[in-house]
Parts: sequence; C-alpha cells; structure tokens
Amino acid sequence: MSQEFQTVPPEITPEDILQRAAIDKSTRLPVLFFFTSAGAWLLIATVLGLLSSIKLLAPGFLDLEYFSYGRVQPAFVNALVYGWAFQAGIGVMIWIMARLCRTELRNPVTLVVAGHFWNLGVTLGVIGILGGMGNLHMKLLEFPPLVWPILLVAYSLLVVWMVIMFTARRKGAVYISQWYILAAVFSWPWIYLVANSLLNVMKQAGVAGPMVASWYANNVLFLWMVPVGLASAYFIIPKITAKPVHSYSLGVLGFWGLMVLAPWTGAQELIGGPIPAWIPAWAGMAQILLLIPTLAVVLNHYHTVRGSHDLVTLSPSLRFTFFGAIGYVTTCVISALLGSMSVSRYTFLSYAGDAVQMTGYYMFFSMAMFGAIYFIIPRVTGCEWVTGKRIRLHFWLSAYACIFMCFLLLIAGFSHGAAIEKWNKTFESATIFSHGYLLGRILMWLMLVVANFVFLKHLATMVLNRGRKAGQPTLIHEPVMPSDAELTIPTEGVQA
Amino acid sequence: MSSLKSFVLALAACIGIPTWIMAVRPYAKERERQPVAYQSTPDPANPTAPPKDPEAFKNLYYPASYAGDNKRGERVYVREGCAQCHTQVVRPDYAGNDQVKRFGGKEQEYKKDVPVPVRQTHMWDYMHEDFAMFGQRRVGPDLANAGYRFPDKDSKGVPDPKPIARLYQHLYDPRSLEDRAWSNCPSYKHLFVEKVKESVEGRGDALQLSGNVAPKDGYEIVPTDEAKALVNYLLGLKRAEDLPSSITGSQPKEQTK
Repeated sequence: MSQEFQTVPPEITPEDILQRAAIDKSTRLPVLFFFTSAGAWLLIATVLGLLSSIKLLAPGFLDLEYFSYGRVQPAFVNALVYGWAFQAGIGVMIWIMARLCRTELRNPVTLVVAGHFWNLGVTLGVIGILGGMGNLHMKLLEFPPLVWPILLVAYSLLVVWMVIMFTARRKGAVYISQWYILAAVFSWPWIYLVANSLLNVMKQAGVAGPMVASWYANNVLFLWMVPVGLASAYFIIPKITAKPVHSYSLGVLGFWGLMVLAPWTGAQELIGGPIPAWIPAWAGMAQILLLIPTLAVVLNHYHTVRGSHDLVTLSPSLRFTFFGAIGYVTTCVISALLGSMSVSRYTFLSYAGDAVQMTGYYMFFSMAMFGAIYFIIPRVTGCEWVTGKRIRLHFWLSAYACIFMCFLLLIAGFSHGAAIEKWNKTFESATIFSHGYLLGRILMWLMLVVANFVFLKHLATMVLNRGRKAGQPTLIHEPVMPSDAELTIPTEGVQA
Repeated sequence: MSSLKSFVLALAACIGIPTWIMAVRPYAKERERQPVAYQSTPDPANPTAPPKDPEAFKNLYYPASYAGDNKRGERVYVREGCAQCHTQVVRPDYAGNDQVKRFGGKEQEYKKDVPVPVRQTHMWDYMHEDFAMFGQRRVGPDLANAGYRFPDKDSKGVPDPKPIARLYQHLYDPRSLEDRAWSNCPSYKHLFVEKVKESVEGRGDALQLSGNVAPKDGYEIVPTDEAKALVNYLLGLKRAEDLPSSITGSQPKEQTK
C-alpha cells in the first residue's frame, strides 16, 4: 500500500450505495458519541478560553484560586486539544476509515469504552489543573501525572480497532486519507509515551525537559492534527467537487515530506535558550523545509477545487474544509517564520506562541473538523441540517474571530516582545502597551462563544434526531439557478 | 498485511530517528551531566586526592547544591502555573537583550547609565531540576535571577526585611503595592491565612498591609508554609555566579575560589 493510492474512484454500483448506507448506520453509535462529547468539551474550552483572555486584562475578575490565569490558560488549551480536537478527530477518523475500508464497523462497544476512558482522563485532567495538581510548566503535558496512562490506554483501544478495521478492508487500492489516518493513529501514542516516560516517570530532565515538551507539543499539531485534518480534506474535497485528487505525486510528496520533516520540529521556540544551539537551529530548519510538503498539499487541493469554486460558497463542508486548508498554510508559514533567528529575537516565548496555537488548533484543525462534522452528521443520523442560515452564521463568526485573533496575537507577540527588548524601558510600559491587543482578543473570544453556541445548538438538534427529514442536503445559500444551465450539487459524486 | 507492515516500518523510521536525536539523546546527556570543577587543573602536589574540607569541596564545583526546601516551593510554582507567564532564561546577546534588561537579570548595576550585563544562563544552572522552568511566555518579568532582587541586607550589610516583605505582599495582592497598580499578575490569597492577632505587635511573619487590603481589626494575614516555600524557592533563583572556565570557554576574573 505504500507504493500507491488511487486517485480515480471505481465505478459505483447499486450494491455500493446500499452498502454505504449500512456502513453509515453501523458507525452511528461511536461517531455520535465522539462528536457529542467533543461538542461538550468545545463549549467548556470556549468558556475557559474567554475567561483566560479576560484574566490577563482584569486579573481581579472572578478572583478564585481555581481560575487564576496560570491555571485557566493551561486548562483551556488542554480542554481544547484533548477534549475537543482529539475527540472530534477520532470521530472523523472512525467514519472515514469505515467508509474507505468499505466494511461495516464491528465492535462499536470497544470504541465507546475507549471514548469513556478518554473522557474520564480529560475530565480528571482539567479538574486536576484547576484544582492545583497539574504540571503547569510542561507544554501540553499539563495534566496531573496520573492522567496520562488513562489517555494512553483509551487511545490504544482505538489503535487496535483501527488495525483490525484496516486489515479487514475490502480489497482494492488504499486511498491517501487512509495513509494520513494510520499515521495519526500510530504516531501520537508513540510521542506521548516517550514524552511522558522521560518527563513524568524518569524525571531529572534539567534543560532537556523544555526540549522534550516543545518537541511533543509541536508534534501534537504536526503529527496528529495535520494528518487528521488533511485526511478529512482529502476525503471531502474530491467528494463534493466530484473530481479525483489532482495529482498522485503531489499527494505522496505531501505525505512523506510531512512524516520525514515534522518529527524534527518543536525545539525552535527555544532559540537562544540554554540548550545546545544546534538543536533549535536544526528544528527551525525542519520547520522551514516543511513548507515544501505544505505547498504540495495545498496545490493539490487548489487544483482539485479549481473550476468548482462556486461550490465553496454553497456547500458548508467544502467551505469549512477549504478555510481549514488555508489555515494549514497559515500555521506552517507562521511556524516557519517564528523558527528563524531574527524573528525569534522579539517573539521568543511571547504571545506569538499563542498565535501559532490558535492558528493550528482553531483556524486549521477545528475548522476542518467542523467541515467534516457538517458532512458526516447528516449521513449518520439520516436527517439534514436544519437551516443554512445557522451554518452561515457559524462560519462567518468563527472565520472572522480566528483570523483576527491570530493576527492580533502575532502582532502582540512582535510588539510586546520588542517593548520588552528595550533595556532602558520599564516592564510597566510593555504591560500597558499590550492592553489593546488583549482587549481585542477578548472581543474575538466573545464572537467565538456565540459561534460555537450556534454550532452546538445545531449539533444537539441533529443528534436528538430533530433535523430536517427532506432529501436535499442543506446549503449555505439557496443556489441561484442560471436559466441556461443546470446546476447540480453532487455531494456523493465520488465513490471512495 | 505485509504492506501495512512496510508502511508502519517506514513511519517508525521517520519518527523514531528524530525521537532519538531530538528527545531521548538530549535527555540521556542531561542525566550524565556532572558538576564542573572551578579548578580545571588538579592540585599539582597531589593530583588524585579530593579536597579534605567538605565546605571547600562544595565551593569547588558548579552547581554547588540545591536546597531541599526549594523543591516544595518549586511544586507550588508549578501547580499555580507561574511558568505560564514567567520565564527563567537569560539569552546570549546574539539572540536578545536579556543580559542588559532591567528585570531581565538581576537588578543591574549601572556604569554611566549603561547597565553591566549579567551572564547568560547555562545548562549547568538547571542541573538539579526535574524540568528547567524556561516558562511558556513572557507576560511577567524574567525570574532567572529573581533571588538577587530581594536581598535581605541593604548595601551596607545591615539586615533589611523590606524587600522580602514586599515579595510576600506581591504574592498576596500584587496591585496593593503602590508602584504595581498596573500589574496583571494574579493574587495568590489562598497561600495566606487570616488569623486572630494574639498580641499587640502581632506575629513576626504577618504581612504589614494597609489601605483597602488591610485585614479586619484584631486580625492579621499570615503566610502559610506553602507561601514560605514558594518565597524560598524564588529567593534561591540565582544564576549569575561565575562559571568554571571549562563551561564558558573564557577566563572569569576570579576563577579559583
């Protein structure tokens, strides 16, 4: 399978359509479980994110020990990553994998058990952070030390399930989304195990501690979120545009380029820190070279969508996915920029790091997951989204908020960093200087709260089976029918 | 199945090699790290003998020791998320201005308005720590050399409790300090308890608070053991000592101690 994947789908037969419906039905329980719990964590993460952004400007707001900035900020990031992003991603992985293996999902109970363990772990972790038991100095490893085995056991159930699913697939070539999903399935437990055994079990890491933590945190983004997000994009874009993936070679370059380069990145955020200087230099170089596979993937997507750009305005899934693809480029460009010496002089451990997080976790990954959820939920529940207006509202609020939040945080990182760099100025001036950006961030968070509230209400309606029963899929706008042409919206045009 | 196997093998090679080089090997190197002798050459009279006097032995190596109580304070520092806003890094001059910045290193001495630079932090400075607290973002001042900023004696050597009392008050409520109204540091009031005053002058360790943060009449605010451990930890953050020449590669002024 590592030699080839298909770009041209085989012919669709009536049996295939029946089988697809059966597969969708079989995935209903685990997929809805992961999507609903992801949605609940998204709500929690959004509220915590709003709270933490308020805290930097008004530390006296809600003045309880559990909600000081030092605890709320890591609680927010961990709830967003492990609560929302991982569970939404796992739901998408399960569904796409079942569809592409063209086998009905067996053992849904294994997945639901894994999901319960995962939720238990994340709940204990977030409560532990807020309650003052966390390791709040380790980036993305902030959960109390007892949590990581729970998460690892839950995830290994998923790994076993995925391998069984993949080996039981119906014969035929393997599609590129499956490569990405398998890569995400195997790489995260590996980096999580290594990071936790070094930092939580063996300890005494000294300066190696931040190196390992940065390596892990960056690779959660590039070895887990990026593969899952791209698997979803490679699935949804050809489906909705009803065209095969543009280029086979670009797909291979994008995949193996990512896998070869991404595991080296991470330490570049410590440029100038008391560690061997070649390590951040090497990591920064890998981060810059990573732009090549990124470009390959984006070209591939761009050419696949070319000629069908009107579909981006109509189809909710395609619009969110396309936005997510733009978010992916932005993430890679910002990361490469911050990994260079002249820039890191100002952005060393500044708000710019938050900008990378928000771009990667939100502008890229969450938006891609929203797109996938808008695609999958109607197929799994058998009813359509209630109204395109709510989807439109969700899209514009999220898009506006995350673009501006990333922009604000990036500028804040540069200018606040530059203000601190002035040796003869007091710290007071730099702090007061950052207030404008922090206020802007609060406003953007308020928008995200509204956007996610709209989305979650819509999702709840669908999960409770109160969606629209009519046949046509919900579009963002009612399509304007040209008088001389027939416009069809092929949502299931490509067999996979 | 063999194709899945080859895929997984290729993936393992892609991720395994960087795991070794970027994470495991630096970690193993760190575990091997030993304190470095200030004297690079042994005593010519008796090259193999260790120093007889244990006190002298302590001062012959860098880093000398790590006070046990600091570990408890470090735990408070960790769980309150101080590292979310405070870094503990002084970058070399090619990477940033940390060495000459106010609040960057220790409270600087000035020569004709130009600050005397502190040295950059080095790997040996973090040798005894489970995880070097580089921190996640610089919202607050750098704490790599915070210990120098709260001396317990004034410049003439007379004991002066004010700087450390100020540090306690900063932890209790940063904005109650008259020149820190702009601070966005959280207050850690849960590290302090309110107790009934038992005598007129109060307990020795009680906070001297006035204005709107002052306790009720007959009560006083006393730091808990955790607050004291945290303050001890902060006072122990001193990373501007001269290093052995084998680390820096240069000859400091007073190399031998």
